[in-house]
Amino acid sequence: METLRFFRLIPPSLSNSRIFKAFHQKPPTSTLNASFCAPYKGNPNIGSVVLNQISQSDDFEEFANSFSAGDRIFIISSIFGGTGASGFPLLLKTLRQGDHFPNHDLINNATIGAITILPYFKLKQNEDSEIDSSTFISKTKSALAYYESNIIKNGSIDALYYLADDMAGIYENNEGGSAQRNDAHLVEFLGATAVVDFSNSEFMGTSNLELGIRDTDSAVSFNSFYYRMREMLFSPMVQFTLMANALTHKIDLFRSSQFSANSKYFENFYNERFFQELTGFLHKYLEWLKELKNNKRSLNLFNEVCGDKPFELVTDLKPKRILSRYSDYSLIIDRLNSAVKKDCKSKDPKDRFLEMFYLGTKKLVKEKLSN
Amino acid sequence: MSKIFRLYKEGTTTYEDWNNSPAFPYNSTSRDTIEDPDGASAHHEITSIPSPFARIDLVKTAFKEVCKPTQNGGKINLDGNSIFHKMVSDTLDVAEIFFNMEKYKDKVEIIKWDPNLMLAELENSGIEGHGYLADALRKYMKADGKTYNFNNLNNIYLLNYKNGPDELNIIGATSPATLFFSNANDLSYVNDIFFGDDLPFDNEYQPLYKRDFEFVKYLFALRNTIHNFSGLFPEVDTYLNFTYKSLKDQAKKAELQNVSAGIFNDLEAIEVKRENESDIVEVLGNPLYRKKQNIGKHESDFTIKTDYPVSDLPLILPVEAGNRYSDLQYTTAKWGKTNKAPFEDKESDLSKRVLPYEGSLHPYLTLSDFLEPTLIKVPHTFNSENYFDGHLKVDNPELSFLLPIKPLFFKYFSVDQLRSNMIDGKPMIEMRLLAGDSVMVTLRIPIKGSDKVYYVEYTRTYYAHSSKDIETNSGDIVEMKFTGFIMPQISFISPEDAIYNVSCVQSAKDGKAEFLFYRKDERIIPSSYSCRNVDNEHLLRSDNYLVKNTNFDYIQIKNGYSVKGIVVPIFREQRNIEKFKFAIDLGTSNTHIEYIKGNTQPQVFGFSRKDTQLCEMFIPTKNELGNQMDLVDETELIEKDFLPEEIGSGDFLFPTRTVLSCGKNVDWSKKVDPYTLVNLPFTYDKRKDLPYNNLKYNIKWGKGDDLCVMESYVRTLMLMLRNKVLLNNGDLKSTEITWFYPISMAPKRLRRLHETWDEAYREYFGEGSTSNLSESVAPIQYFFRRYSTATDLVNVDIGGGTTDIAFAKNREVLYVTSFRFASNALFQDSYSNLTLDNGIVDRYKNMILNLLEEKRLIQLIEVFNSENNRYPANMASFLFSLKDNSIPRNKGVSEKAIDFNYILQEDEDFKIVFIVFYTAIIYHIAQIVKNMGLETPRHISFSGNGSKVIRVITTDSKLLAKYTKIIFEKILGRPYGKELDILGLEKDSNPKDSTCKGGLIAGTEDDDDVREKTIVFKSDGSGVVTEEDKYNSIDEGYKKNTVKAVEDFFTFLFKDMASAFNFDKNFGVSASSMKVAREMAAKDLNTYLEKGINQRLEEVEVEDNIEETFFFYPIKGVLQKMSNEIYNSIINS
Repeated sequence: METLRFFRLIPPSLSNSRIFKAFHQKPPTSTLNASFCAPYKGNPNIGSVVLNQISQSDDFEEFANSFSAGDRIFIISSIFGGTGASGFPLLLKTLRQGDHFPNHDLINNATIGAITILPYFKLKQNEDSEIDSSTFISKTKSALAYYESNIIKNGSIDALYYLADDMAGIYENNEGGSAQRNDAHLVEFLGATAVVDFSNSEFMGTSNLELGIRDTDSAVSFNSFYYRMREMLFSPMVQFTLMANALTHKIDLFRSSQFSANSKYFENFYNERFFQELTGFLHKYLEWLKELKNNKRSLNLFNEVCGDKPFELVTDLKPKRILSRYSDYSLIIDRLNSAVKKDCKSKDPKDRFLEMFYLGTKKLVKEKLSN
Repeated sequence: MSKIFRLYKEGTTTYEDWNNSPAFPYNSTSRDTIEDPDGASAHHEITSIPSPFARIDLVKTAFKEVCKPTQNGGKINLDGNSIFHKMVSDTLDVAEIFFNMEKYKDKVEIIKWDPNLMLAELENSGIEGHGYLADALRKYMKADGKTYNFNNLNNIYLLNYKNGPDELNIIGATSPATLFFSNANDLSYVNDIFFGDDLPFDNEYQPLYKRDFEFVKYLFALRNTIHNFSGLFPEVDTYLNFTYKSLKDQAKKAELQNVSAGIFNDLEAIEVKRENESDIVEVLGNPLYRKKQNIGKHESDFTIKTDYPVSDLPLILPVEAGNRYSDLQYTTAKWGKTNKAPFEDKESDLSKRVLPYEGSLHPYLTLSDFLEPTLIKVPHTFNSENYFDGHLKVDNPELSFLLPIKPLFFKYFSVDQLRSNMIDGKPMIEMRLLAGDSVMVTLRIPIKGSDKVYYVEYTRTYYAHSSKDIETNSGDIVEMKFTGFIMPQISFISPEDAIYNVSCVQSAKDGKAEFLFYRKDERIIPSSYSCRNVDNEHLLRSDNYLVKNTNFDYIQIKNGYSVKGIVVPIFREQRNIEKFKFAIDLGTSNTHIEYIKGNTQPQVFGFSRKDTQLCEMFIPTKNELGNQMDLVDETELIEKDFLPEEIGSGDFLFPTRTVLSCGKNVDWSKKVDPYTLVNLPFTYDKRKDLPYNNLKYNIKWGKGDDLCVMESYVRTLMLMLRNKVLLNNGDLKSTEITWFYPISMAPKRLRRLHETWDEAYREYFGEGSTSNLSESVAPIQYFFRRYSTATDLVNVDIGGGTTDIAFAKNREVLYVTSFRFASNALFQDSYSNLTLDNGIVDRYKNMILNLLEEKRLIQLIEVFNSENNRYPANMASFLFSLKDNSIPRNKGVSEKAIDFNYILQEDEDFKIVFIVFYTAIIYHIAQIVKNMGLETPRHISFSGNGSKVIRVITTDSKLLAKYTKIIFEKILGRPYGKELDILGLEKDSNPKDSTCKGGLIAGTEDDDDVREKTIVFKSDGSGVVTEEDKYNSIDEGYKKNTVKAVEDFFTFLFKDMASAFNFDKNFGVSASSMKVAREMAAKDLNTYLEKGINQRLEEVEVEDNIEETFFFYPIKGVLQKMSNEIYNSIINS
């Protein structure tokens, strides 16, 4: 599998920060009194100079060092902010033309993709803030014009993904950092799909990619997606959600001796650090789903609560009946047990645990929820 | 149909999942369809171009965006308010600053940025950050080279605003993409650059088509001359097209169409100098230009409107903002509503002044150039009839203000204009009294203007109780106490004729007023400046200025602290219409003048308020009783040192004493001009004189230095006549002057006198000369004219020093004779001017003094006690004058008590002296009649001031005639044979005027003619003097015979006449006085004769002919002795 490196440069939502590897940038020297740590408050023209430091940084050096042939690069940025909008074209220029870092030949010619997030939300007007959401559109237009001339037309990128939405959910206007409590949004989710798509595609010349789903006024669900997206998303997500539900709502069950696999494989597993972190992560995951669901436009994939009916987790999807003496969580336990006994190949308990759930839920999804 | 996650609603395409397309989905067309619900409102600058050259890109976009039709109307609106319009406007501001670089070179400087050098410098600086910056710049310049023409970039030129808050304040620069671009920051600190009334970088955006047309032309010329302009600067090119379309003026459009590189000839390249480098500003190698220095072709509506041919007409700029002048064309733009010029511009060289809000050098004037900072207040009543009062109305009479106008005003406007109104009827200057004793002054200055605005109005308020502050346009008020006058207030047709005597009367110690004379705005230096009171002997002083050979328009009054104000006289125009004839009788003691205007009857010289010679600036106020309340001391000084307001109707009249008043500091070696340090004091004997003056009496007969005195006297008199002529519309050149001389005057002296009169005439009237007549002849003419029955007439002109007698028949003069025996002989010692006593005077002077003291007539007491009046003849003159003096009359002194003539008439002790005097003269006349075989006169006329003493004898002419006839009969030895009328001695008649009147009537006579008729009757009674009779032919025998003749006379009088005519009964002579007189008549006759001859010899050469009979020499001495002895006898009894 090709190693994928990506640099995330959009202001992260708290939840998203756990999913993606963040790329630390050295706090740049301040410009026009903007403080150090705060992102560029929408001034990418300043960012464009300041972020040039990146290419001299240790992290970049490390990245360049570990780059090998066949590796691809994906740049994530927003077009209407400060940091992302300036960093992206600069980074691109550096990657394509720079010659002062290791493996620059490989990097100069690597397949590079990027996603540019266009406005999909609107900030409440806050005069103390230098961010004026009313300028998002005009800035976007200006930046797009710049991209057209200086990125697309000169073929420096292989694939550019675009995401935008005209649903205006109004967020409180704070200038990035921890205060910017944007709830997780569909567009971020969709943006992540671009990364997957990029990894799996081949490109001839510069490609411009936009996402289409089935026309809908209401929330986006699994049914909104066309075939490929659905394929990409359905099984992995349902599987994972099953696990999440199980290990959060039914944790006691799974820790207990009723889960027979425990005694053999996972005796001390539940007290160890890994499990705590895992469950913590799974809680956040469920919160994430909730945020996505409650946001505008809503991503409504799963039901929030399914209680003892784990297979009723997918919105608007009725589980199939199968022939088995087990049902609901007992069915799940059964499948897990069987997976861990027969199919798991991992040695380490942590790997094994996860593999168990992966294989088990995969079978369950096939049996119960696919069509 | 799918939902596509994109910004614009477009298309019916179905995108499934991530849809790949080679086309950029957000191209220009698509971008335009993106709804921007907030519009491109310009709260915050757009900064999301991710490039360090973002601004360059943005400006490029801006030019493009403003040329797009608006979303609603579909029309292109170059005047919009969006952020893009702001960028275009700010960029054009930068371009216009470059274009007007010459004007702004103290405010803005150009810094060259050479990328090659500068980037290398950054990279080599050793500072990490510099390295990043240089690297970023290089990357972008390379990558974006084609889009922004970085490939062809030579240099970028930055504009640094020097007066900004930081060390470097870059407000804009040249751009390789759009020629120019502006800074995105807040540039409101640029507050002293103006394009008309528009500020650059402000919130009012100005599209190109509204800007200075010269600038527009320049940009179009660049378009036409820069190779591939539309390829290099496509957005600007489009913008220019739309600009052209937006212009309404066809003529301008035509100009733009034809614009070519030719206009660069009127422009200059913009230089950038740094150390030893010199570059010119260019874009991609194409030079840019700026305007040359001057404003050029625009003629401002604020140009001053003047009738004078002044070059470099300045602008007159308003000092208040508002609507009034907003529509007038200033230079390249209109004045606007917010502009106002400063109240004062300290730059005194107009050509170096910088136009406010404009920056270029051009002369302009503002309020403080016309109005003084301080207003001068004078606590007297202004003479607004003869001086311009600025239309100020005051309630309080003793309050006036000088006009606070600076002379510069008159460089452009005349005094007449100042006094009149503007086109709309408002006066050019207005002054108004406000509450709190402040004054508001408004001055209106005409400008080229428009059909609604004709002038710029300046108003300044002067506050009585606060100090001045130019910043707030407040003036202050300072008081000055003075008065002044102009003599005469006439403007001369030919300036070379002008003679002005101007004086300033003020406190001797504290007075600081200085008079400065101006014609238009140019100083006129007076011919001389003089002051009598140099030693501070009196509390007032008069500074006298003589201005000659030029007219002047106004006087600037300046005090010692350079506070100034002006006084504008209302001059009367000189008119040469009337013809004047003057006859001047300059007698030893008294002078009289009569004149004819046109065809009128002769009248005594005088003037009234209507043609008063001095025109005072301030009028004295009078109270209900008619007493003068204000300017009392000043009026007195003016009366004494110059002239009274009226001559003829009050205390001051002709005939007047022949005396010259002069300051003690007169230098007689130089020419002394009238009214500078000398004058004819009409106040003589009527008012106490000023302590710094001296009096000169010996005008007619002065010797040596005193000849200068005579000259001054004559010139002063002539100047007075000149001013009379001018003030009465007379023609100077046609004026005739006749003066009189006694036959007894030596030819040398006479010549000197003639020269003096003629020179004075030439100086004051013009080419030509004066005429003269003998004092004998003139009265003859008068009397013949007056008395139609006159046939044989003898005229006896008795003056102070001389008596002239003329024998005429049927108007023709047969003979004349003259001798120095006249009224002075009665009142003084003819042979010693050290003798201060005289019986007649001593007898009565103290009595009259007591009267004066009783009524506390201090002035007159002081006159009485003055130095001059120690001489008895002068005292007599003073005593005689009291009758006509208004001061005693006003204080209720009874006329008779102070009428010296009346007192003497009533007196019986001294009567005999007068009788001796009269009889001697008649005796001499009778002898001549007998000797020459003449007819006895039908009339004997008396003229001359001295004749008045004859009335002391009797006021009854008939009685006197009777007495006279008896004298004749006794001498002739036959009856008189006809009636005899004595003329000229009527009550209230003025015997002196017959000379003058006669002079006016008569034609001129040949001098020699009369001289040939001169006879001198020898004192020995043997006949008339012939050519052989010279002074050196006088021998003892002759003298003896003379004494004998005099003795015979006294016998005749005291014996023959006394018995034939009862002196006492007829005239009133006391017996005791008769006795004394008889005794004195017999004594010392020889001594007196000697003295007389010696006195005469001082004036003549021994080879000269005898010109005067010696007969009267002994009689002179006797008269004095007689009166003294009579006085002694009275005292002793």
